[in-house]
Amino acid sequence: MEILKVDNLCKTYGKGHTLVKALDNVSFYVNEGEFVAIVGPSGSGKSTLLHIIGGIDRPTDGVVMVNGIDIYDLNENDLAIFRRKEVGLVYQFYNLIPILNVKENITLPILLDGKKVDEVYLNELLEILNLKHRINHLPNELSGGEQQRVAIARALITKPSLLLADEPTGNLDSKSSLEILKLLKLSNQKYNQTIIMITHNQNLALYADRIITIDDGKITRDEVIKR
Amino acid sequence: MSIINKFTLRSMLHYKKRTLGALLGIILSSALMFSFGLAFSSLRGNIINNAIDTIGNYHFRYREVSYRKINILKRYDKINYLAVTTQLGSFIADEEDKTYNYVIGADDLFFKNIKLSSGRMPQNDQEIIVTDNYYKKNKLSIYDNITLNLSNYEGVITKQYVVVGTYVDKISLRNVVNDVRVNSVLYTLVNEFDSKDLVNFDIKFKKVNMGIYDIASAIANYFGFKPYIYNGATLYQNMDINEHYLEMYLVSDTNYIEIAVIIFSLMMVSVVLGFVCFFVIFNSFAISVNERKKMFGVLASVGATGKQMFKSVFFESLINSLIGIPIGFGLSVLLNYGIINYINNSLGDILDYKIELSFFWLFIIIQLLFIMATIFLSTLFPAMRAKEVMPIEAIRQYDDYKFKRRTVKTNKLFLKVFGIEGELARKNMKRNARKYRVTLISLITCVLLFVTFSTFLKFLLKVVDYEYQYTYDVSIGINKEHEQLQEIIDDIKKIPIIDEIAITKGWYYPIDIDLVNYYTEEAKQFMNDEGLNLKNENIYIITYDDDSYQDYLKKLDLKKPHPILISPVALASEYGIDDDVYFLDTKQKIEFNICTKMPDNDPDKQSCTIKVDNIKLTKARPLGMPDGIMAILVLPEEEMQKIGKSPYPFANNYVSIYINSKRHNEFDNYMNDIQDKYKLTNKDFYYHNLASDPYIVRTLRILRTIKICLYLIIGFIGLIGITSIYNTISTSLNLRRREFGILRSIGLSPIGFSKIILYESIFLSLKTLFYAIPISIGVIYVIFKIMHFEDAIINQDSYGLTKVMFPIEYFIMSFIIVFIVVFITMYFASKKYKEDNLADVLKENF
Repeated sequence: MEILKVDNLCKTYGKGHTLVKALDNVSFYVNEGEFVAIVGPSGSGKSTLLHIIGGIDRPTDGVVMVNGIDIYDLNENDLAIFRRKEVGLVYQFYNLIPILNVKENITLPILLDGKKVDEVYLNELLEILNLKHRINHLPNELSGGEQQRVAIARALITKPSLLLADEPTGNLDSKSSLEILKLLKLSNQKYNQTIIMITHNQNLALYADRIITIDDGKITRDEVIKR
Repeated sequence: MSIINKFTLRSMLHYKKRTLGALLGIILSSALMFSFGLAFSSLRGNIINNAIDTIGNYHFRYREVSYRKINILKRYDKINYLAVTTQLGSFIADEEDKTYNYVIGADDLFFKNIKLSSGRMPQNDQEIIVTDNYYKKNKLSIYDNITLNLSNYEGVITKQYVVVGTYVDKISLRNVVNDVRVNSVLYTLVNEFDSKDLVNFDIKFKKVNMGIYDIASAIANYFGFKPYIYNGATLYQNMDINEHYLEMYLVSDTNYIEIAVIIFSLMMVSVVLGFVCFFVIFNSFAISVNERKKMFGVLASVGATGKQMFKSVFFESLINSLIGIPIGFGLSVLLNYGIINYINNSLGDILDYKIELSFFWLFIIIQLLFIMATIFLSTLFPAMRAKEVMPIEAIRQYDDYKFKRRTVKTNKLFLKVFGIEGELARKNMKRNARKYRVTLISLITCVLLFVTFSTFLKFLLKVVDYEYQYTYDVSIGINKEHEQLQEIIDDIKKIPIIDEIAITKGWYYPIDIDLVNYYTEEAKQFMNDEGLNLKNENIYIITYDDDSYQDYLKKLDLKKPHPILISPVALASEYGIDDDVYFLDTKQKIEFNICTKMPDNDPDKQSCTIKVDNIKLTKARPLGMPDGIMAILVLPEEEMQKIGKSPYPFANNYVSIYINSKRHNEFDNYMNDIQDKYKLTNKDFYYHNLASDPYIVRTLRILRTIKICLYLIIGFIGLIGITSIYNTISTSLNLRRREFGILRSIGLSPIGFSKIILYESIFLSLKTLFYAIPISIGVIYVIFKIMHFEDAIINQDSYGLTKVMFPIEYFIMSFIIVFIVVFITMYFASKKYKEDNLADVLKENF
């Protein structure tokens, strides 16, 4: 089932001579439960693409449909709710709220929704991500790998349609990087979680089911990994 | 210029908003400090003017010396001014009062002290100027000839003068005469004094310092004046010292008290203001250092020393001071000029002189020193922090995320009540407690000043109310014998702006009942302490017209007519009761006979025939009845008929009408119409409107002026507070920019964002009041105790000291004002973050 459809997506910066096309008529779709890696050199437009899919940056042109809804047809409030419920974002620099502890950071999207936290699911996530002993710690008391695991837990807590990861291992050592990748793969398999991950590391991209290569704002390759 | 200073300048230009914030802090702080310096300087200037007006325009005056001996002094270069006067003679002004008019001959220098109200100055010894009073009293015209029979030591001589001008009479111009019974002084010009003349002369020195006393003594010795010792200083008979004048130049041989009080007050005010300003300036520099921390880190990493960074902060402070202090001074001049002008305009007719703005540089220099010290101290601590910047921590801006779990811990209930937005607001406030401390102090100071001043003013207004005991806005009396009495009353009732009206016939009666039997224990103790004996006390008996009586019965929940006895009341905080003392125990049953008797207390003329029973005892007063230690008996009309006339004729003559009206200042017009319509004369009619009572109007005007000036000052301090609040809040929000981005990226809606800001504003306002309330109550208590204000409200009703001490309405107002200020500041400072491009914000590194 098609969960994401990107159609003729354009993003430009500047005007006239200084016009830069970050995304140039990008189109593709992603099915539910797919693990897609987007690779490309730096400045190729992969982060811009992810941000636009995640509803945190606006395209100059084109359509992003998530679960059949054109997300840029939504008003600011509805877009915030879309981000809260349908998308889980994982960044290179974790982006945790420093004044909230691990548990609060993870459950933040649910709390923003005014809903009750599903304690069973939360415990399961904490168990899988090996964070149980850290729930009362503040981000500044955690290692980089631990912080990224918290970010992944936060992204998964709402059982979003899409988990978007922007260079999730970019700030980690190789051991922690591998650990994070395994966790992403696990969530993909265990919860049938759709994942789109940006990486410039070809080896890590191989964990995905499909690799989309972007260069100069255009998709240059889109291949399914055969195992 | 060193590279570090160049860097500092560039960073100041780059962070324009922050630089402007710091500059504004210095400008406003200096303006405030200078304003007080100028206010005190003007106070001093006006004391000098007053000394000149009431004593004379001189430092020293010598009386009855031979003119021949003065010439040598005229050539003395330390003397700036030497004016000579001589008494030419006097003539009786008022036989009954035994007052005299004097004719004084003066030299042209002395005439510079005189302000003409018409005509011109005399140009020779045939011409004369007279006081305005003398001019009017004698129905003179300019250029009239007057013939005067002047007595002097030579006998009586007849002189003719031409009146060429009139002048404004000042006490100092009468002081030239050595006689207390002066009515008017007429001045004529003396071009050439005779060397044998006995004259008075005034001197002022070029430079005023302690040395002038020695010169003045030497002059006195030269004239052979007799010395005497007073308060340890050597004084001379026939030599006057203008003490008040000289004190204001900080030179006095005998006392320093007045100027010492002024300087001491200025210092005290400066210390308090310095404290407020310290925090504001400190805040802006702390913010500046915080924002530049990353830059300091980079500088340190390439080898800049701590000392260089320390200097850099001081360099920034120096630049800001060089720009800010002169602008602040200019602003303070404008502010003082404005306030003085306003006072002169609004109270010019009440004060009999104009207040002037005057510059006494010593006070301004004192303030300058205070400002410089404040800026220095406020720069010192941030500079020391800059010195200790650790490169890597600064580059990573580690400090903002280096806090303990305990610091941001909140109660679970809190999350339940306020939601995640409230929780985030609370945690953030806890994390930033140190940053918000200055904002908190600014807010607390503003609330403290507002509440204290407002309470003080409100209290003064209450005292004015009590002094006159008016419980109504308008009272009208109409002669009961007037033929059209009912029509007049009906017409008055029809006046559309009346909110409440009571029509009474009131009589004073001495009655023979012993009310003391019915007194409460409190009242008995109060009476004992006060030494009061209320036996056989006068009682005030009134009856109301039907409508007013029904209204009053309704107020008391009474279905049918009753005699109503209103308890006397006193306020007795002094007796440890701290509230109103009602004298009569309202649970008791009272009945008594009214014995009408004549004012001369002749027992034979008494008749005790009217029995009053089934009395309703109450504390509630009907409209128009003043509070006080007198019982008031309200009787139905028919009962009153039985008593007959009061023995006091004045109490019988008028029907009194009491009115409450919010628009009572418009009442005069309606009453003028009624007065014209019925041709009411003073015999038939009296009318008293508080809105036009001259004494009340005058007092209220003075209080209003004080109020406006005080609120202006509070507003100004508030403005400084707002600068600090804006600086802190915008910086703190800036540091949280990325956090807002993260929150938005995981679904914080714009409403949720506003909620966080709203909660932070509420929490900050509540925290402000949490500290401000006890401090304000403490300060109010101390002020009231020191000034013994509670004595002023003894014996008064309805305004206990407790109510004064806890001005809840001002606290509520403060909360609302603080909330609005903080919310608006936060809202506008955070607006841009609401519209931030999330992708850009999130790319930034922590």
